[in-house]
Amino acid sequence: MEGFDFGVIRASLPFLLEGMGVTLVLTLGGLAGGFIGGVVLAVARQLNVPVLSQAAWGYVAFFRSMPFVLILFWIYFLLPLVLGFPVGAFAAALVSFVVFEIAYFSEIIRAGIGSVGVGQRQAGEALGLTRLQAYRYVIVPQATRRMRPALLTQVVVLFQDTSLVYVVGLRDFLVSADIVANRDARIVEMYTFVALVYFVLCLAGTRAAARFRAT
Amino acid sequence: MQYDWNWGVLLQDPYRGWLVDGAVLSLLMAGPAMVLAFAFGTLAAVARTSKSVPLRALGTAYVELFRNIPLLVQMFAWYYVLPDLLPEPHDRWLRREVPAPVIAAWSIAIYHGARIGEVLRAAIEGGGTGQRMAADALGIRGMTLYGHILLPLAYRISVPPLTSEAMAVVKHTSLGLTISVLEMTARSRQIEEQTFQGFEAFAAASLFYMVTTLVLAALAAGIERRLQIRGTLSVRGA
Repeated sequence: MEGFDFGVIRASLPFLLEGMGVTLVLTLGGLAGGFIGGVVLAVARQLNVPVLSQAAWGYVAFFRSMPFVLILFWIYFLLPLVLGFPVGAFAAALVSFVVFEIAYFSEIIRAGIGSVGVGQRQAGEALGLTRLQAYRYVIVPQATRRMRPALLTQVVVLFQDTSLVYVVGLRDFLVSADIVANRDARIVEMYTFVALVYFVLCLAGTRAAARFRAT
Repeated sequence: MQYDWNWGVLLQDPYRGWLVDGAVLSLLMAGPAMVLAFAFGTLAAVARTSKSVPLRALGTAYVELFRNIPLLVQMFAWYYVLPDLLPEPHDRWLRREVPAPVIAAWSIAIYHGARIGEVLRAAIEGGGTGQRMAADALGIRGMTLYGHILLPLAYRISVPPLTSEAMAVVKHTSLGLTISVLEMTARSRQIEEQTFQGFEAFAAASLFYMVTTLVLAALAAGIERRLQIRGTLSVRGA
């Protein structure tokens, strides 16, 4: 085997950076959409809204039992049929991540709110706060602090899952490196680099989550 | 919406056979992967909570390395990169003799072993019951300490996160399709390509995963109920 060729990594850096851009947009989009939708579902279940609560439960149970790849296939191949117009790989991936992460974030949020004892709300109301004020000034701040490690861990998982867009050929970081690896026959160098970059970024994320848990 | 429904296509040959083959292969990958993952995870957790510094370093290195790299990247590393790094004749052995499903199951086991190792470590350390100190006071060490006290306790309070990991093992078998393993998701895609009956094909695959995770969840609920320890809280996993 010839020596490790760093040059191919340096030469392809702009291309890889574009791929990383796609990865980051998918991560942030999935995070934003997943969190907002997660709050909606969590609230629906927490407040026991008649139909919405059961629908939310069904949604979470369904999407947490599916592999992400299958959801991506559903949306990529079948959404165009439903909508009547073609849906690009990027749009399909973004929608898939949002749909997928809503199920996971809603569970984390529910656990966070639930971990703040009912005594907190009761104490707040006993001191004259309305239910809404109790939630806003007492429950939500405590819940947010407790959710942070789990939320951060889920973001790291989401970041890793973006690599799965490989199956629809979307050019994220991994796929970009794969293209270079196959074009220049430099599989070892490119995959080592990819692994290293993911490792450093995810390690930072999981370390941060651990520090949140310690507080 | 323009779509010709034809659920009967799922029962025709060869598509029915494909669905069965896919389901069987997915399960054949998931089972051993789960067992191996729990084995690796237990070893890692024991190493990370031992008194020996080198053991702790080794355990931490394994866990941090293999849970911070995406599973797909790891699978590609085992399947594409490792053969390139091995000298003759081992690289030929890896490429020819080791089937792709085995490589997929192996990489899933290593990845989830790292994650399970983290869950169990948190349970052993943070179980919050001072078991270790009590055992120390009684002079209990080594295999007895872990086998009779720390590990049983850790498993019993970690049932929820361990269940998630088991379900994730099943779901991650779908990644095998990227290294040409014809598991459930790959087969449903095959049917979709051939017959254009996408809804039916993907619905069949979805049903498979739903049933499998449901069975795992029911098993876990039963286990948790029977093994519950009053006075301890479940540890939320890594």
